[in-house]
Amino acid sequence: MSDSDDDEDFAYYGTPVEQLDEDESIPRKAPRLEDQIAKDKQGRRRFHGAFTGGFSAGYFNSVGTKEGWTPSTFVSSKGQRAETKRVKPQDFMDDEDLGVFGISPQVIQATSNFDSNRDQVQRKRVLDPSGPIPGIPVLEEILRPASETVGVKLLRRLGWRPGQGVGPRVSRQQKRLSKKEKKRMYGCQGPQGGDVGNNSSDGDSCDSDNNTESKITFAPDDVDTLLLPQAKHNTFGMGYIPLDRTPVLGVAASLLNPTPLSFTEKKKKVLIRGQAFGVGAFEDVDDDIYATEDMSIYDFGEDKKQNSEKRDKNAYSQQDKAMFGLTEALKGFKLSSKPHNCIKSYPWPTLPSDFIPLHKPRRRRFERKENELQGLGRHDMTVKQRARSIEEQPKAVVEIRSGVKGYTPKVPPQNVMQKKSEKTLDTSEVDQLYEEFKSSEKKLGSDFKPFSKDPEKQKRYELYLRMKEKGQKGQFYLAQPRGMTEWEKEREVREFARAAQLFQPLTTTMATRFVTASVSDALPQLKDGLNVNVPKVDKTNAGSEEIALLARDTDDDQMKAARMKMYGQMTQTTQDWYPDRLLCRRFNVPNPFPESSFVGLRKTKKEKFSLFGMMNAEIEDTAGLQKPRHKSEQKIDVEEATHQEDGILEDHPETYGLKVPVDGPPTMDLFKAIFQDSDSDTDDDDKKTDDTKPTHKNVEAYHGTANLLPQKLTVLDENEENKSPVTEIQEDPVSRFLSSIRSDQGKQNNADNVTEKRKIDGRRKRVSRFEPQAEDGVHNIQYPNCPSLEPSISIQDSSQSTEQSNFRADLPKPVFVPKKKESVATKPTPSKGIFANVDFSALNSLWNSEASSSQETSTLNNIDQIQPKPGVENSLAEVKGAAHREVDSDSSTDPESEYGPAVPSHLRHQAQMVRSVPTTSVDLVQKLGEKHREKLNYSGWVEKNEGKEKKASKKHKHRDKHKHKKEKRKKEKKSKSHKEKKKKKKKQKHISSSSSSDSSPQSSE
Amino acid sequence: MVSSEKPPSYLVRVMECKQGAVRAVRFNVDGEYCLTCGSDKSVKLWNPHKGTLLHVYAGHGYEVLDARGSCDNSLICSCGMDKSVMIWNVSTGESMRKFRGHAARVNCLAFNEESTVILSGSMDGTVRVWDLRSRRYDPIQILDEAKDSVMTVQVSTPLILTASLDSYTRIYDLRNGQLISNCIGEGVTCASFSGDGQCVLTSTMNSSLKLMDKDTGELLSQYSGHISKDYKVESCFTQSDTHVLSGSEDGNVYCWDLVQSTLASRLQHKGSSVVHSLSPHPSQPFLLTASLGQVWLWSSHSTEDDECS
Repeated sequence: MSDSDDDEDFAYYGTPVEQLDEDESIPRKAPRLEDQIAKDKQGRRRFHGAFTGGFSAGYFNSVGTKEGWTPSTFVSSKGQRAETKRVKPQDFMDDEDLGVFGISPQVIQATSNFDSNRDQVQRKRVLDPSGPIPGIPVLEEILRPASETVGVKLLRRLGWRPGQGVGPRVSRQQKRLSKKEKKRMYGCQGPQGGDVGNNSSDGDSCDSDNNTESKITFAPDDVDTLLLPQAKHNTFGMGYIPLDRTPVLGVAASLLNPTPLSFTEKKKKVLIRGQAFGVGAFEDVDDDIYATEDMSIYDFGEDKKQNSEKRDKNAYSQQDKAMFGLTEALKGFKLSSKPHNCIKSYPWPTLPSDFIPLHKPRRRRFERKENELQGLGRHDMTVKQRARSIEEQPKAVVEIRSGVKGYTPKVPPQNVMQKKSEKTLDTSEVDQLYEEFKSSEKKLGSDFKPFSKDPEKQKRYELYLRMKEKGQKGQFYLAQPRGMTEWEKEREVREFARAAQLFQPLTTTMATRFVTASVSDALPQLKDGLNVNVPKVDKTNAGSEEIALLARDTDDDQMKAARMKMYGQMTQTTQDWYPDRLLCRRFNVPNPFPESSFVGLRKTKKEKFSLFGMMNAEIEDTAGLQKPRHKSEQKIDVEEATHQEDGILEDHPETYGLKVPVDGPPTMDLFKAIFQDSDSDTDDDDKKTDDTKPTHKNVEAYHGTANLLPQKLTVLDENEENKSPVTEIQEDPVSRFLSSIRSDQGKQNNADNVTEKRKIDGRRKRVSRFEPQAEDGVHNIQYPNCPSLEPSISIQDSSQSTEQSNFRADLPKPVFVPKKKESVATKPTPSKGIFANVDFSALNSLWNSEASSSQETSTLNNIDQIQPKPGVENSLAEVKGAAHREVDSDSSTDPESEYGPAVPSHLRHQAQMVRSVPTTSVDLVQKLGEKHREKLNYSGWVEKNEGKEKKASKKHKHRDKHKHKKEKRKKEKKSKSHKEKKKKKKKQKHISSSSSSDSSPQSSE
Repeated sequence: MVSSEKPPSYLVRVMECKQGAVRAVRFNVDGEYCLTCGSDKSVKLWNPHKGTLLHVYAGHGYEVLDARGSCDNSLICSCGMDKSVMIWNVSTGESMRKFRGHAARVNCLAFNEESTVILSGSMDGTVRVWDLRSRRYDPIQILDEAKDSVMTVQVSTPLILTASLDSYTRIYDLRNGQLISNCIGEGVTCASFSGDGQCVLTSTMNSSLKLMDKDTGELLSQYSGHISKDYKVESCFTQSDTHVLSGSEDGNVYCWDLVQSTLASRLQHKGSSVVHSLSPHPSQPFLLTASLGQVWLWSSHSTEDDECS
């Protein structure tokens, strides 16, 4: 028990050393340093590697497990979204690392909330300004986490409360005493003093209460904390204040720091305070070892001086005054302490030598220069430049000029160029194709050459255009070089198509909207600009100008006519129009131009007016030997034969020329026709057309009617072909037909005529296409090449012998002759329906008469006026004899009652007519008069006849007008050379034709 | 010769189309239905004899100016101020094709006889021919001879008749490859072939209506009394060609005897100022007229007769 008692008495500190087994041998030596190896729990060597500094990681220096480390795969499904994993460093650590001695020991630590280091907290706050109130929360300032030191904790355990002093508890008296002591005492002697004071003050303060209160003890008062100035942070010697640079504003004036040294460094005023130098240990010089040597007492040269000057104002001012030489002031005055500040003046800046006093506005990047504004640059080039660039003769402008002025271009330069290029290029296939298609010689889409850089390509492009024109685009691939791949070929075709579209001639889009003033539309081939074959137009300037002038007025004239309600021929124009072949197919109509792929309207001259202009131009100088104006038709084949045709036509003067003046003195009527006031004349003529000729085709539009002329003419030729020259100037086709007919009859066996005949044959064929089907029979019979003309006549009714005589009379004279209903051979489209029996012309006349009285008179006196008017026919009538006169007189005997508006009477007449047609006598026919010609009853045959006469009358109308113009022009322009040449030519023509023309009147007579 | 056929003179029905102003009203090919073109970009299909609305075709970008039904009634073609020509499936009401290419608003339309081709005349002065058989979106041919707005296009099989404000009517003869242009003297707002195809009725801006010969362009007759100065006032023949009808800017439709050119009747449209669009029934004596927002159906028989029948 004693032992145990003894044991109990001992206090044990520390952990007892384990008892050693006796079996174990205790190593004698302590292990050497090298042998001491740090090992982990598994006994593996922990540190190894270079200088044993590296440590092993994972499984035998691999990662993680025996199998190694498998990377995590990203898996995310609809139901289970992959979460973004935040990887902690601990994830990559081994167990050892997490141990006490590891890298990241897992020991209990005060969390940051309870960490005294508040910087982290503040930083967090800054990082997360999510609260409504910015800045540090106020409560956090107030409520601080408890951070008690161990000492405080221990004291608390011992019963200490904050605010109490430490020590044994004291009575109240003692405490009071200690307070008194405190007041007297100063410093840290409090506790002792307190005790002392307590003792002394015990007696007097509380006597009576002592008994009760003496048992109550109080904790002693807390000791006042000592006010230590600053903790020592640095490693300098005690009391040494190192040099400290602070900006001026940062200086806190304090008693402890006397005036700091201030100087400017880098234009900043900087104060330096602190002690510069300490006192050396071995220095004896130091008198006052405790004197603080401040920087400010040292002299730093100029700055210091100024500083000192500032400090000593008086000294400064003195010095200043001395400096300005002012030592004394006047009596009653005082020298100013401030220096006089004068206004500073600066000299003018000197201009640099290369300065130009001109403002150049800065050019912006996106602004374009003026020349750039003009486009691709091709507009800037002159014709010559452009031509040079594409290595060809300048053509377009020159040719246009030449066409107008009348000198003929030698060879179409386009062809020259083509041939040249063909020679140089030896792509034989292309050439072949090119030749093939060149023959078509249509105008290309434009004269712009988009591929001029690559002549071969340009050539292919032109070929493409031509093929396109012909509608054989499909063959184009043949022309493409073999070296090209399919893709390239296709691409090129597309490129060409685009180019063709892009550089379409302006005319197609714009020219239709405008009338060009200088280049007349009348010249047929100028329209596309790529004018290759300018016809040899031997026209004077004047003539072409006139045409242009007239062409411009075309619309106006038509409008005028329309306003005057002279509808019909005056207001109608017929042109060839090429429908797309697909359109024809869609409409179930045969293509009228099967071999042409041209689509639309050929923009040719305004034919009507160019014709008249031409005629008038020629009347003057050639006295009827009018050079015909060809190219009136748009037929392709005719165009091909243009040059040939020209020659022929020139050889055949207009046989319908003004013969009357040649043969004898002009009759009065001719002068009348020329000089009479045109108004009455035209009015009458037009009225005639209105009233009497319901079915006029356009004068020049011979598509439907051209073949009718020869028929008429053959009739004429049979008996009185010689009369033909007496008639007025006719349009070319007429003359051509006449001449051809003449040649048929073998009266003139010129080679020219033969060729002409051939040409006309071709023409006939073409014309027949436009002909309504119904007329084919007639047409065949009246084919001009028919060896004998009898069939054409015999086909007529026997009763029409009078008609024939009428026609003979009609043809040469420009008088209106009533349309012969009896001559109806076939009617292409007889009017059906309700109009079949309605006499529109009569109604119309009625209307017209109502409309204007002047017109009315002319209408009513139609025939009377006509008959005496044109002298030509009068003279002719005399020549021709009784039959002819009979016709005229008969036509004039038309009863006026026939014009009456009453429909029933008309119907009656019509009925009569219908009945009487087969056996009409001349009288009856003429009695019926032109008013009763009904649309459905006319025949193309007669219609054409009328059309011709219309022409003649029209010419009368226009002649005087143009004659004046012509004269004027003649005076103005004395370009004699041209005209004389022309005249000569015409005379020759005249002579050549005179054989026929001269003979004809004689024979007729 | 005056036929006994009476012109439509009895008002059968007035339909409020509720599609803004009715720009045009057109009978379909057999006259059973009619189409109205509204300024609210819609085309409406009606049964005018019952006065019921059958379908609304919406899809144009701007006012619709003209519409036509194809010969088999399977397609509707419409055009308008959005410069496009649209083809509609009649039954489904969806737009099948849209032809673009006109540079200005499209005034008028015409199918050819077999409805394989559409011709559209536009204010840009062109008539474009669109193919319906193929899938081409560019026109077969552009008839750009007109120098001003094309107001009317009509097809009479080998012929295409156009009227334009450059005061010309043009007849394109497909069979003969000819273009016959006739100057009328004033802007032509409407031109139409007569039933027998021999005459052309032209309305011009100076309140005149002229009957012209198709071939010669001569004036056959003239009708006056109506007012047509500012609007595209249409005119037409009656189905039997006995009378000529024209809208007017005084709220009437004037009806003249064709031959005698005497005013036969006046159809008064009460409450409307301009009657601009007319559509005669292709076979029966009915007439559809359009004034501001209404379509009027007229008949030559009184309504009692209709009810009896």
